[in-house]
Amino acid sequence: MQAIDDRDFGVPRRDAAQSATLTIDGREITVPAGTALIRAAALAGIAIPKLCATDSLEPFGSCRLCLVEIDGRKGFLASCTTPAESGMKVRTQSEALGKLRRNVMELYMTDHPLDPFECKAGGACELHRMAAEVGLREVRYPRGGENHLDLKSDDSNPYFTFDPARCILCSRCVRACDDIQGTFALTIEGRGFASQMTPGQHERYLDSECVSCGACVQACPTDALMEKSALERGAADRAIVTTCGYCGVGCSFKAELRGDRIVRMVPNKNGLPNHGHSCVKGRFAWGYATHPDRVRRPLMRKRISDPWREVSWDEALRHAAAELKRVQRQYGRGAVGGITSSRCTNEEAYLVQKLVRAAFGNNNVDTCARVCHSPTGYGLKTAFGTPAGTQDFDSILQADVIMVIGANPTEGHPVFASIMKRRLREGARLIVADPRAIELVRMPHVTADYFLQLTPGTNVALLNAMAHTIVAEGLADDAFIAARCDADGYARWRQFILEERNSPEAAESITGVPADRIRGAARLYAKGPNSAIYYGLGVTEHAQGSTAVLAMANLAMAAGMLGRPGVGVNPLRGQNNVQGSNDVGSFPHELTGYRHVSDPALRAQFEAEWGVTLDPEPGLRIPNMFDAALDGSFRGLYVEGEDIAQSDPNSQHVAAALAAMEIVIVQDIFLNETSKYAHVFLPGSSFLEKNGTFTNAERRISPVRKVMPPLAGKEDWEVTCALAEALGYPMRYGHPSEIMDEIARLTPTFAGVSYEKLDRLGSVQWPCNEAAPAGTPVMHVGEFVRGRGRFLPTAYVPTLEKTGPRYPLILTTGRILTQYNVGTQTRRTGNVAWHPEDRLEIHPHDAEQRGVREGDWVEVTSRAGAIVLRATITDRVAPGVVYTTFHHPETGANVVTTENSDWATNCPEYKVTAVQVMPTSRRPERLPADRVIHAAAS
Amino acid sequence: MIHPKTCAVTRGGNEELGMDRHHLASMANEIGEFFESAASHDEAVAAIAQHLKSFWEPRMRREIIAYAAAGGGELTPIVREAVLTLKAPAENR
Repeated sequence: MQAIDDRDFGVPRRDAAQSATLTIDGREITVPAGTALIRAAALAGIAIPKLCATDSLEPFGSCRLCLVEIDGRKGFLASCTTPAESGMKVRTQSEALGKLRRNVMELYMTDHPLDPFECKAGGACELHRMAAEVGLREVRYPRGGENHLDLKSDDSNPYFTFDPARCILCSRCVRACDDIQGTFALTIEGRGFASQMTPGQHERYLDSECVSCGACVQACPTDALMEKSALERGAADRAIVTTCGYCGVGCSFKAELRGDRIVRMVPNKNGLPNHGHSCVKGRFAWGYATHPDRVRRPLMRKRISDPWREVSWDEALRHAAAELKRVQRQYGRGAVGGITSSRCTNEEAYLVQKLVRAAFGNNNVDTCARVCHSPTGYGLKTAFGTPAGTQDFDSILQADVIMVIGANPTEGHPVFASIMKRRLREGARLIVADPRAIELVRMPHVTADYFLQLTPGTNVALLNAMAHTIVAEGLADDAFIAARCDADGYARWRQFILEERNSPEAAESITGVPADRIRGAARLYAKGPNSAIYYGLGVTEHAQGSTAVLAMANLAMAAGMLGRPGVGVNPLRGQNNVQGSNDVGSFPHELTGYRHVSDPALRAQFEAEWGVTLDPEPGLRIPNMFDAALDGSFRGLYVEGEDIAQSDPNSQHVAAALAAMEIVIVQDIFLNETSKYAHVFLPGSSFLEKNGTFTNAERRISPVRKVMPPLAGKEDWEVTCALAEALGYPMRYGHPSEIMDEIARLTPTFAGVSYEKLDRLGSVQWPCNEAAPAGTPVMHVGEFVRGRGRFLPTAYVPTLEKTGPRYPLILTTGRILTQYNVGTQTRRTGNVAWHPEDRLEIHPHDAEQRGVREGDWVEVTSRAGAIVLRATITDRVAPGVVYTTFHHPETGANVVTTENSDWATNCPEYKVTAVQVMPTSRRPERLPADRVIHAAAS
Repeated sequence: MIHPKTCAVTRGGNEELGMDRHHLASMANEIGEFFESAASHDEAVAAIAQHLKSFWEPRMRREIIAYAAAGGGELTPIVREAVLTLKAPAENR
């Protein structure tokens, strides 16, 4: 288990080439020049009392508690703002300092409950600890004077309270909101005694622009800002470090527990993806884990129209195995398959693909990355040799130009967005390419230099035009290209990209983005000096998703923006383990480490380890499984953690395919849309109930640790092993660490990964092997994984999805901060306070033409189907484009999306659907009674 | 409202076992479109064939090969040429 070191050094670390050696309380210490005395003292093991200082924030120097004496200097100096200098002699304790600190504390306590028993944090808050530390025993001033003790508490936020009566105006919350989160939602209003911390314009928390990231709660040294769960459940008695179960940032958290009950989730300050920061989902939205809807016993039924029947694990597994075998006997070995989710751990995804390949005897295994980032895998592997992001997250702190294309980091990857916003506040320039004006286009202290509002489906034309500009204007990095890239490929690509069809003028007519803006953005990107691309599903979920990834790779190679910190091509992965589930062999054509099943030497290694003969042919991908189900050649499916009936495109097609199958086994924590078509339901475990690892978007493998027992009695990996056993192929492991050991034995890029190393280092980024025992933050340094970088011509091909008189608008989809994908988890938390329904964003011009007013119910029809939801009128979308989220099953956004897909990978084209929007008297279908969602306090 | 491609029975009466050829042809043509613009004719033919071999499950390949052999009217010429270079994988029971 990873050790937890929570020491607060008072101010952030300073890195400097020079050092300073000084003496503090007689102890000599050497620190980087510029280090504040409070940190130098902490490094020497001396804790100086403090209130307004904390090492996640720049020093503020307001509380006057951290005063010290320095030989040769007059008076008392704040140790948080005084830098260490060589030869200094510092005293942190003296009679005068003690008296001063007690006086300062005494003044604070005149306006705060003195008795620790009155402390909402049970006396554990920093204020009461400091009061005890400085020896304050009484307050001499009378209590009857003017004070703030009667101010009303703001309980509007679902997860935390703000009690202004307990606030000491240290500004830690305000600074955390500004400097860490970058939202600027909090302020100190008024002057002098009337000063008060307030969200927004003297609003309640819930009504303000606060994004509920928890940074203020984390920073508060008193009991003014407190988690409701901690108030309700009391102080924790233990903590376990684990990894968040939501997005691909993969934040490290401390699960604080009282017994087996979670008191709160606190971002781990030593967590390398998040550095102690969090978002509303990871920090607070974990209550779904114990929601009453959780299924705790296996379920079975003969027909999908029958009611569920609770059965024993043994009966469910025996029946599932018998049915899978029957289907294979009747229809052939290839008639069954398995699908995993990116919410599964690496170990679980590995076991399911092993089960399919070894026990089913085919390669019909796929994962939900098929429908999100499979084009990333294809494109980056083709161009660079490995299908993964090139950088670590912290690399962005060295970027001079940031290009965000087809991603919405403040909503989808909020903690990484905070790092990005910090870099932008420091002066980095920003290019945003998106059909919709995402928050980053203009927000406090961030304005995009170029907002390229392109028509959905035209990314390739835009990227090509940027590359055209770079080459045509002599901005290409010829030295990088000559040293690092394939010369023939470059020559061919250069000729292609200089063609008139790739000029900014040609692109303007396709994308709608003025040619001069494309040129300006291209020049900015090329000149860097460090330019980094960050992208999301707005790039991949297109008919040309893979082509666009290749086009970005071409752009980065042409400008020499690879192989060092501050640059790169970086996918922002939607779910916590998209990267990992791909790494461990979940695609039907690849074994672990992205190696093709057709390689006989590779298969021989796995055959030796697994004791079976493996199929050398690629298996069915998810959309192919549905097609094969409808032609009758695919009749059985094992789905772990993925709600394909809600999340995959063209819902009616998926439903028809599932209904055509003879055995559908769903393993999940809740009954969902897919389980409506299931014959066996195996209750799964949440990320809090199991051991394993997740691999985030920066290739970082982080531990997932069991913090409470699985509600249904089994961790998911144990269920898969039990199913394998029932199929007659025993997969026996004592602990998931043994599964990771097997992955490491079979996978060169994972050869150095072990649980022991993860406990020791906290996390590692693959490749992690003999050549890089501590992992690899930046890839392709000096040489691409494939040797020479590969340029490929990327001709723009318009999507088959056309607008016309019948469907004149383009629908595109996305996510919102407080909800997560199909909402299985977040809809069962207090997050519904912010996003109770999906809305359709429509431009005022399009709304007026159709007589649609704000909040009206509208019907969205496409050639695949029709949905009903309410409209929000906004110019965030361009005329001709409408947008919605897909978090609520009542909306069923995927009823209208089509079967169009990426040419290389079959990743669905979610982002472009031709639709019509009209006012309607229809309403969404109500959910059946057993599917009603209850928000649980968490 | 159900799209014509939604299920086998509405895909032009494809009741007999076998993947929907219209859909497969459309997918294959999109693969062809990429490689045709990215490489010389011979390289593109080889790349299309290799892509199908690497990523298409045998029953999909069998279907498209049979379709190409029967004329493959919906296939672009280069895709048909590439498909006809493939050997049909054996039935896997």
